[in-house]
Amino acid sequence: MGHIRSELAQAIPAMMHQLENIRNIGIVAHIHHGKTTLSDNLLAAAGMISNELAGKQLYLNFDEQEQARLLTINNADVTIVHPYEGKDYLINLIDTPGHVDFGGDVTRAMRAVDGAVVLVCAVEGVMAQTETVLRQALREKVKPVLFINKVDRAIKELKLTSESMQKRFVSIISEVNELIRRMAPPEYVESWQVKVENGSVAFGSGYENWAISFPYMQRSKVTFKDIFELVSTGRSKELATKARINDVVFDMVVRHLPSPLEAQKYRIPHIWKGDLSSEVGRAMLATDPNGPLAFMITDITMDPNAGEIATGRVFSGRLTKGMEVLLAGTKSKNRVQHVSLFMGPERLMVDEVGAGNIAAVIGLTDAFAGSTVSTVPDMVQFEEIRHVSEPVVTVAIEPKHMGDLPKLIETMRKVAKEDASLRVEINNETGEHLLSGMGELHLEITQYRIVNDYHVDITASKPIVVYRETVAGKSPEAFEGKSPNKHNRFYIEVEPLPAAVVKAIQEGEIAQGKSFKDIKTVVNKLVELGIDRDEARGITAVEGTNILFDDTKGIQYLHETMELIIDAFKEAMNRGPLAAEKVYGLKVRLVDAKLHEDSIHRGPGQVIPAARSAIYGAMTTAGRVLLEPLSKVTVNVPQDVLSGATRELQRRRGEILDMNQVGDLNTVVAKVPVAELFGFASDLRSSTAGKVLWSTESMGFERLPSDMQAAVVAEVRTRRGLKPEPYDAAYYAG
Amino acid sequence: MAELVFVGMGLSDERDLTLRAVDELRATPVIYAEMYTSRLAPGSLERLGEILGRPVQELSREALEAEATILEALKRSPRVALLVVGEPFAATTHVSLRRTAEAHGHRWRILHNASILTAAASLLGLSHYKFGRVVSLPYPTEHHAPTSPYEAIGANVRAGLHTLVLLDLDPAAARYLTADHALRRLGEIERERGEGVLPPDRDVAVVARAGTPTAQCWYGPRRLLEGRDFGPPLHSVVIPALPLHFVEEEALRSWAVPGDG
Ligand SMILES: Nc1nc2c(ncn2[C@@H]2O[C@H](COP(=O)(O)OP(=O)(O)O)[C@@H](O)[C@H]2O)c(=O)[nH]1
Repeated sequence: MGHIRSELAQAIPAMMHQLENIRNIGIVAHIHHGKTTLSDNLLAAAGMISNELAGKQLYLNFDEQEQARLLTINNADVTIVHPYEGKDYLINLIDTPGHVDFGGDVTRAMRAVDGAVVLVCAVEGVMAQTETVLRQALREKVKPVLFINKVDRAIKELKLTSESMQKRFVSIISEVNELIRRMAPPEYVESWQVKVENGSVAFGSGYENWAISFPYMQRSKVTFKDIFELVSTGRSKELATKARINDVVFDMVVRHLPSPLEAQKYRIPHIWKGDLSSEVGRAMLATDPNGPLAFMITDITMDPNAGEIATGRVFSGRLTKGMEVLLAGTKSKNRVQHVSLFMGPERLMVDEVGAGNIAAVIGLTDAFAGSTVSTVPDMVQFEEIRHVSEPVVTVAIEPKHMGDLPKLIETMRKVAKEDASLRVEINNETGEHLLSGMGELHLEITQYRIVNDYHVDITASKPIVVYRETVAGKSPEAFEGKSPNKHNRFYIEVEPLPAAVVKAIQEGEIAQGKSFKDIKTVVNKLVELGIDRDEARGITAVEGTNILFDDTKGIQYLHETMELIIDAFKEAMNRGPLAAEKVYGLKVRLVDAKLHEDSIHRGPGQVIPAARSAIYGAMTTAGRVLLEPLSKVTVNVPQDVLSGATRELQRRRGEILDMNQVGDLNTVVAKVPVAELFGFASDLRSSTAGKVLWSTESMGFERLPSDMQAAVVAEVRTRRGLKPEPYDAAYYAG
Repeated sequence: MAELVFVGMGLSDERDLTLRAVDELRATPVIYAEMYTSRLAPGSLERLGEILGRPVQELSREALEAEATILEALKRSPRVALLVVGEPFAATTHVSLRRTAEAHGHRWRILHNASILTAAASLLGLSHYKFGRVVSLPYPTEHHAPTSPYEAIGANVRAGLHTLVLLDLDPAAARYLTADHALRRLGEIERERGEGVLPPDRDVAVVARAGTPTAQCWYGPRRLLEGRDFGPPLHSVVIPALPLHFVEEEALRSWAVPGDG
């Protein structure tokens, strides 16, 4: 094995310049569908790790704690050489997390790759997270192929016949194609459909190490019947030598997924909004290693020895050891200390990595996930990597020994830098150090890492739910907010935004901020989603899922006051009047303003409080409501413990959305408030005698039952050091 | 039913108060002062307190704008005084406090004093009759960099009227917009807008420390004045309408330091 590795180490640096022969890919799947097992066996078969270790070692999960939980958490990337039709191909395989509790990471990995192997379990079929990860891939213009896994189980446990098995496959394939039809970029809806006949679909068992596709069947003369025969009679080992999993999967990858040369032509205009005819624009479109450097960081990991390692995609130019690079959007310059490729958990140091490849770099101390690194001054940054899911659970963290406080703060900042779905807030007023994430498990894992990787002993508060605020209806009339000097007045109306508009904001179709590159398109989009055209034209700022519209006409001096009104709007949207939680889905309309004619008497100290009071007051009269986060919980259990599982869900204000049964296996899908999910893991385990697999996924926010609102508001306010009762409208009018 | 007396303090220090004001204040139980719209020489309030034999309490912007402190005092005391630098209602927004006090059934009175609005013109020898709208120039910040002062100056200039430009200040932070900075900012807007209101060679005037023993003024092209140091605050800028009346011209030439002097 050592031999193969050192040979690879010599071959790879030369191969990375043959762009037609490179594939940058990721494997994406619903949790437990077998992504880790497949990845390990692919590596073993490619000579990266020994066959004996594969499957046991779960190689991509090399963090101790990941192994303990059998979850893939941080990306671990590898480079593999695969021969196909007489040529050697370099396959850069980016690992992606299998738990949508950490959903943000899948999107980030998708930015670095051009193709994705979508893995679906033959027994369970397409699941919620399959749809989520596929959407994230398609949104980045990443082309999919399909691998149907655990076929051995389908044959042995479900005891399906050859026909019913084929029917099952057809239904999975058409379900995946339906999702592609719905979510793919319009120009690729047809050409990206996966098909058995052309080999963009493969079947197999990551566990038993075999796979098959239609082209491979024709070549190897292995038939569907043979497979059935061999698997059901316990001769899978034989199959693993006849239908080698790495050959089938990597053949499919090479044949159907694009090279960087091909993919960057259509991906660059999608992920980079700079001038395509500029030098760097042309270099990226052409994947030119001789152009200026353009490198996007998609991940940062902390290595105990090497420090921060930034991983990402080189879109043009080359990253060379010792070179000085610029971080777009900042004044920072950093020096590249080391450049490397990945080979399993090790890094292979190289002198340079050229356009079209995935590189790991040490030395970019000022970078974070999402940074654009270049040699071009003031390069336009790559499009932000979208985070649809927002943190819903928070814990307050304290060091066990007060002397560790500075170290704790530094460590929290580091873990947040590594994991973009975490938020860290150091509140100097209350002295709290808050860590927010996608779920209880996400935060537990992060705490574990703080203790075990960074060696800071901590105590954590009970997890706290993150709420949102909005309004029940439209404010009855414009609410007047006065400036402290009483010489300026602002009139605001609020109402909920249509759900379609909120969705468009969340999906990035309507950008955040206040400068709209193409205002016409934004206005048309709003009109299409049900906003009146006159009103849509007044769009002024988007903050979170909320929009500020300026519905006034010809008010003197308003233009030079608007920035301050936007500041007030942003402040109010990030700290609602009810419980100081973020505001969700609110339409804020400025309908009138009266201003002092001298600019000194309408500065920030006057305008911001006035506009903020007007917004808060309008929300108060419109009826403030609290929203709570919900999770879609999917539970897989055998029949005998099904009732234990459903009881556990119902006990937690859960609403069962779907239940189905394949053989002895039941799948229950339920909607459960995040607030009720604390401690769910252990309760579920004990009520099902441990015979359970489950996963969760964010389902957004919904209104808290109204009989619970007052108590929850008082609790949140008290925790924040506010008086338990929110202020009334008279207070904001004063 | 009580009485709120707005007392102008003039421009220099405690000795600018009128004898009438001092007499009345000696008979006023509660005395507040507002020092955020302008300032007097350091220590003025303490020395005034000694002269009056009773403390003068300074009110922050927040406390004064909230109005509650003064309304409370009016319940406790038959007469409350609010000391304001200059003339109480000239360059301030206290008129709403006067309205609130009245709405609560209280009487009000004003003891007038000198204001920058008149002092600047007097020092320069410009005709008071020929002044147009007064403008203030705020510290330009990222989200508040208004250009309306430039527009107002332009309107005055076109109408043949002088403009007094009051400069932003934050006494709590000891931060005062200086005249050279203000002229550079106006020059910046001129370059952006290019309306020719304030080209580099346009003559402008600066008044520093008006109403104090070290008062001084300058007159000359903007490009020369914007590079000068005018000494300690407060500063104001005056944009005279051109051409000047010969009396004004002579006054400026004799009493203001020339731009290159
Ligand atoms: N029978 C069978 N089991 C599999 C197969 N692939 C994975 N598994 C099992 O399914 C479980 C989840 O697999 P894992 O690779 O950790 O899933 P991941 O969450 O997608 O990374 C493990 O117990 C695996 O041993 C397969 O092809 N056949």
